[in-house]
Amino acid sequence: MTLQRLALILAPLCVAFVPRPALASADGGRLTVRQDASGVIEVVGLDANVRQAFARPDRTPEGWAEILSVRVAREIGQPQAAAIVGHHEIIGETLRFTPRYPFLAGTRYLVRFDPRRVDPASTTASIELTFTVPAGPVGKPTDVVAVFPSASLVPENLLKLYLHFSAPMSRGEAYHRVRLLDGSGHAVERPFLELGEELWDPEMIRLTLLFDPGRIKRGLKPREDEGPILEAGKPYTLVIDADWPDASNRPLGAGFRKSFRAGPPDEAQPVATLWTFEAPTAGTRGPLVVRFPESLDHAMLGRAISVLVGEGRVVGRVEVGERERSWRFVPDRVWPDGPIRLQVDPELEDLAGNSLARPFEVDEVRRDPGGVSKGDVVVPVPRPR
Amino acid sequence: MLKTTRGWILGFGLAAATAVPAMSAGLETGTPDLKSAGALAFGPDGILFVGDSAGAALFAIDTGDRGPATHGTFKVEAVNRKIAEAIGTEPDQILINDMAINPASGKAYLSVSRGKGPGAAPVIVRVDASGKVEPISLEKVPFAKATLNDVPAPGAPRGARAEAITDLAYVEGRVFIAGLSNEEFSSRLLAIPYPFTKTDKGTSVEIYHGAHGRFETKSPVRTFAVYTIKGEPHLLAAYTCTPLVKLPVAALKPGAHYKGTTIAELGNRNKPLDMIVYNKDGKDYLLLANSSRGVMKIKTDGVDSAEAITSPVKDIKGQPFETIAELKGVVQLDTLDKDHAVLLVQGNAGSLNIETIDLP
Repeated sequence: MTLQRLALILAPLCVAFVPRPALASADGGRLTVRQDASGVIEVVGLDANVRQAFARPDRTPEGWAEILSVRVAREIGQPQAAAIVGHHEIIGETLRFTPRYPFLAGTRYLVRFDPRRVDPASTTASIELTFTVPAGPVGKPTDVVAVFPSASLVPENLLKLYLHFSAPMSRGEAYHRVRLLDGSGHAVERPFLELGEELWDPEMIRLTLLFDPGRIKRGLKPREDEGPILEAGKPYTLVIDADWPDASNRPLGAGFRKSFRAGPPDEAQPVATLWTFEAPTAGTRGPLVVRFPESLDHAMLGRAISVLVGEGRVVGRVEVGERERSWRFVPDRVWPDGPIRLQVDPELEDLAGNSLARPFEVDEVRRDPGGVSKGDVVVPVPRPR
Repeated sequence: MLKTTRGWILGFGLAAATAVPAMSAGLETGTPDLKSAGALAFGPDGILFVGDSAGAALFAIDTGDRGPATHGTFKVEAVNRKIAEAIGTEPDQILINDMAINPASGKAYLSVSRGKGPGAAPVIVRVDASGKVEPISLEKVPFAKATLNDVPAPGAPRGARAEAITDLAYVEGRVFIAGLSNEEFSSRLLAIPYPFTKTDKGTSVEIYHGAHGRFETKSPVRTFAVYTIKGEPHLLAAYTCTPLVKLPVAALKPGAHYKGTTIAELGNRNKPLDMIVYNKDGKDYLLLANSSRGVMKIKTDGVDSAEAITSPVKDIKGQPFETIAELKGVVQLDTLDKDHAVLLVQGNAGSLNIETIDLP
């Protein structure tokens, strides 16, 4: 078989073919892999005999893969990986392979073209090449940027923690990567409710960890057997493992520790009538500040309170204050005249899961599921004189 | 991980399934725009239902896999490695979310996430008893899509959107969906007629959870099976920390609020993973796989008249069960035929294996 020109090209799918600098080459430069993130692989310059042999209608996907295959590369001595699924086609004198799923940056792939599979008499040896799609620019490692509640004193019936990261994280490792240590440095056994789905936000930069309610509520077996998770007066440290991989499978830049102390349990609902206000003057863009007598849920503070003037909703930016005990709102435009009201989601909770609508621990049957908690809570904000 | 059951009503089973006509009615050829692939369930004639929590949708996809049923014996080692290789990645960079057996062919279908980050791509993979692994192309396939209403917003607290759909079952022209809504009493069950015409608000569900000593409306059903009690189809549904709850299908009315009957507490510190119903020697049983309490064979005797659990339970109460000692590491299960089930089992060094067992 005469192989006039042979090149293995990883070319862009969505732009006209423009040769890029070769990632790798072999066989005196007749075979090259060119850089692209999610590309096609092409063998060009097939002669007529080979093209005809490829074009047999009974050739199966497995049969195609015997001739031109791409696999995740394995170390020497390891069993060879199976061929990646994709689409083979003959276009003119070119054999093209398009992977069903894009090649992944950082993964090493092995390409093999073996013309003897269709022409056993071929004198052209099989050609192998490995390539790695380079990762994009490597930025700073992902870090833990905050843990909420931010206070150093929390109720012993604390319901949840929020872990904030600087970049998207990976799913499936959360419960192995977070530990809670007691005052003597021993890990608290299974402090968190390990749900099937880890509780990530859509961007996967915020994780919610729920403490096991079986050890918060009195009278339940897990609490009777193992005691409460947190006990008033005692110190604890949350430890986040530096090896936790982010979404690009890189470990965190550093581990993270947060120390705090447990205080008495909080079994009372938050009461909006106890909130105090710093109200802005109409015609300015001064902030509206609401202060709470206790820390509230950080995530919910970001979305649970809307500002109304008259019937209109005011658009602006929210900041949650220190220890989640205040809420600051700066409007995008100057404040209009008229009474300000806050429209508050009754699901807004304190650190122990008591919401405006109900305390966390409710035992009795609710006869009226559409009761007081159904609608938003409206809070008038006194304007400065 | 999302889990599912297939929901054959005992006594109807495969024969009833194949009697439903025009399963492909209403399907159009195209590319289903899956954002995620979670819970799976099969209808008759190779129609695969795929729950997409991220996309807030239920898809019906014609797999074209209509048999014949070979029902060979699965013994597939490290299926997660085989799947990863076929889709060009490493085993530690995929998640298997669910497994369902196509009753028409006896082949296993798995929903997979390619990647573990927010950009993870949904993949559906077919595995046959010989161990052949075949990622399914979703280009130009006959499919239909039902968009779910009132799902939790993408940024809803506690990752609720990921639990918009936790389990599916197809029974006689309807797809039952468990999951969360954006409503105050967010645990809900939906019944969507198939072929898809419309989706409604679903029924919010409240239960008494004896192990937590409280009523719950926000915790979703994790896995359920459909079971006929005195001629009336019911859902038997399991929740985290493992209350088992009975709900009549007739109670699932749009916009209604229904309080299920807690018929067992199967133990704290546990996630129910997957459940099937089967008949052995003339008696019906549930087979329930759990995260930390093994596989339970639960008797259905007296389930019709079981007294509701309405007060705190220390550990275990209600329907009697035995734990099948030899079944360890089971993360998914489904019915293969009347005598066999197929399991997805956690093996050594992170491998996941598919195995056929005799129903215990």
